[in-house]
Amino acid sequence: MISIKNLHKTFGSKVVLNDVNLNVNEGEILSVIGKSGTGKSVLLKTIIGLLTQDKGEIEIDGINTTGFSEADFNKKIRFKTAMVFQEGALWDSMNIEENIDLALQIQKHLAEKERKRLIDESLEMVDLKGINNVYPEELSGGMMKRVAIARAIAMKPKYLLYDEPTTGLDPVLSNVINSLIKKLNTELNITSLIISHDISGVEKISDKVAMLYKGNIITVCDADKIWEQDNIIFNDFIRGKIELGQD
Amino acid sequence: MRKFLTFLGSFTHFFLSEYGRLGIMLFRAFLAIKKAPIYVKQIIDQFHYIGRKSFPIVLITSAFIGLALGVQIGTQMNPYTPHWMEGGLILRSMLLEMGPIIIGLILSGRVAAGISAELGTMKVTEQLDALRSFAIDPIEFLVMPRLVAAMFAVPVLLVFADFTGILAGFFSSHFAIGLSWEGFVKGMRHDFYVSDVVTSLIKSYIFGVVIVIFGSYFGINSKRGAKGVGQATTLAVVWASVDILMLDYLISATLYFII
Repeated sequence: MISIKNLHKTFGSKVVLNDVNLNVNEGEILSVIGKSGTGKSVLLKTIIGLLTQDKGEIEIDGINTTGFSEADFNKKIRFKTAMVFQEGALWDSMNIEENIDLALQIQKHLAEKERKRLIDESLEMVDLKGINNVYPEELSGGMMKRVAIARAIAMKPKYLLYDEPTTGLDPVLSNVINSLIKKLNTELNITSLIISHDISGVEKISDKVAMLYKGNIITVCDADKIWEQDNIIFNDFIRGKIELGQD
Repeated sequence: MRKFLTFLGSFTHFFLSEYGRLGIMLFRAFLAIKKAPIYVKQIIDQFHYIGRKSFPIVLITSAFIGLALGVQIGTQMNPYTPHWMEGGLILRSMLLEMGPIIIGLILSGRVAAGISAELGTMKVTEQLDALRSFAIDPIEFLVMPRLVAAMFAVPVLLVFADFTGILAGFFSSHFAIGLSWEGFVKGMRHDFYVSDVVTSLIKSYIFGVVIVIFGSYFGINSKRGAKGVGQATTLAVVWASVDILMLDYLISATLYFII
């Protein structure tokens, strides 16, 4: 379980996260929605220690990460988490196989045969079998995101964090990615925390939906009840009535 | 006066903090060398990029520097000075100053800029964050292999640059003042000191480290966007070049008293 308590994060004078409280239970898919620039990506990066919070606590499986060094995160947290970045963040000097292999080799220290098996298995899982020798620049946006997912699941994470996995994709590709996220959750029992603007996708695949507004979580509800909420800001947002962009 | 002191204070603070952070990165990169066996492929790739790909430009520039040296020294020598002494002057100029400086400045422009642009782009496209999210230390994976490769590649380049420059110096002095090969060799033998070779190699090692560390530091700390990466690349080249010239003086002065 990921438990976030009273999380604060500022950049200079700009308050990005202001007293965020959120729980992600094991096996569930929780989606965080909200306007651009409200700190959703910052929230994900803070959970796995890519950014450090100013105040507040994050617990992952009961391990409080407050005050953790980079080495602590590497040792105690990052072997059970993985993150899929917005644009995939594939290492463009390496081909797809090397992209997936790198962490398996350096972090997991697996034998070559076992690594090869995991690479092929994860590529098959995202329906991209046989592209091992292709370079990221040769892939479309949707394929890059699927490879990024393959790279993440090859590590067998317990928690998978997705930063806007469907942004920039057409509706068909968005559906492919959403179905994939659901499949990974069901078949591999991966707990997922998703940052998204894609309301229909969120509704379809999530167990819970939370809304981040002005640095704070204003609503957490079951995904099948998002149209029944009382919160006006939440209602306006899911109906597209709040203009996206900075405050 | 107060304004000047404030400026001086903030400049000193900026200067020391930048060098402090740079020093920490360098220290961490050196510590990571113990993990070099894991990154053999990356080290070989970087050796290819820093060494082999810089080879033609280093040879061309050192040849022209040697040609210029031959003409300048030959035509400006006192008419009563024996011509054969030019061999020694060219040898010592190439070994002590021209060779290391050419290598340092050329590689600042080619390698430090390349490293900075590559790492800067990786930063803005979240590839560095992706490395960290998989518990891979960017300094260990990106900086250390470049550092190790430069420590091997730059001295090798220097040997070729010195050789080419000296040979070119002979040709130009031969055509400028009619110096014979025998005379040139006599001059070189007369003025050859092993300490010059040691000084030259020490400089090349240190310049290799400077080039990699400045390129990496400004790349990894690049600001977002194309403008940020461009600025990082400019800073890497400028700082590396200036530091190479400063260190050249400091190393020369220090080794003069030691060796």
